[in-house]
Amino acid sequence: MKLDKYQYAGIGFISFGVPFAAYSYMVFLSVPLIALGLSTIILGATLLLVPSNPTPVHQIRVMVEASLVNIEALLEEFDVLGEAVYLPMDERISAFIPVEEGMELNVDTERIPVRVLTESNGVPGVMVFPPGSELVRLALLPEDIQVEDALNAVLVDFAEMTDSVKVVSEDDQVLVELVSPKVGSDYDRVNQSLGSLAVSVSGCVIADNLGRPVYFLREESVDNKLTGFFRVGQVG
Amino acid sequence: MDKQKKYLITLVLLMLGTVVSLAALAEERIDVYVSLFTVCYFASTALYQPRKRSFDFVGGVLFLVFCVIVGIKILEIIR
Repeated sequence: MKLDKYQYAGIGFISFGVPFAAYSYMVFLSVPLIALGLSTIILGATLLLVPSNPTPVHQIRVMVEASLVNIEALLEEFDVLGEAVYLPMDERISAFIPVEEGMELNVDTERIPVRVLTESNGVPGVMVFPPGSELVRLALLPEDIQVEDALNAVLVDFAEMTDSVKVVSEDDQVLVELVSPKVGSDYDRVNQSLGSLAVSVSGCVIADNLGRPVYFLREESVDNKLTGFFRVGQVG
Repeated sequence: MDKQKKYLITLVLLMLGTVVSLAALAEERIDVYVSLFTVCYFASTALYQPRKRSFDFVGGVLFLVFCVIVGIKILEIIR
């Protein structure tokens, strides 16, 4: 079980408070010192009880997963089968998904019309705002952060979707390995086009961090590791 | 600062203030300290209503101890 900083502090307070109160009772015979020990124990127990994050992460994860229903319905309605391109827009990340799968795309971020049914360089597709778009925005990442740190900040610390993230990049290829992802989606079209939830969020984070279109290629799941494969495109 | 932090800081200050104040008044009854700790705990919890991981066992134990202290005092008065 992974402990947060409040739980560590709580254990520290209790570890100090119990012997301190006992020693004060048996040796010093001083009531104020015993009371100080007791107050430390109460504070330690309270620290163990209070989570450091005031937002209920589990409920947020459920809401984010549920938001994929609408995207799945949209993809089914228009029979969309392609792999998404995560596009950094002004404030959010959008995803352009070509209707046909296996399309060789070179998406022009500046010239792509922002609407549900759209096209890029003559390739028809749909444009959606994936849930990861809002997570990236709400995580309030600093501007000069590295990709791996940004992924850890959003996926591990903010949304607690996975235990850890590793990134390997070579040329324009980016591989994101997620250890023990805690979220998933049962939506086949979403999984095929955007990647499962944690991978989709990874795509959004990379696009936001690099400021370039990020092409989702595929994902692989082995044991408790989920690996997302992306290609970073050029701007314009 | 989020309400979890405000709650914990308030609780620390109230507890510390209680110990220092009562020690300065040379108070030697432990039940007085515990009663005031209980008041501090419930006051700060009511004020900030922090999110908790599970059942508030700290509040439960403090309330139980407070009830025992009050019960003993009532018995002393009745006798």
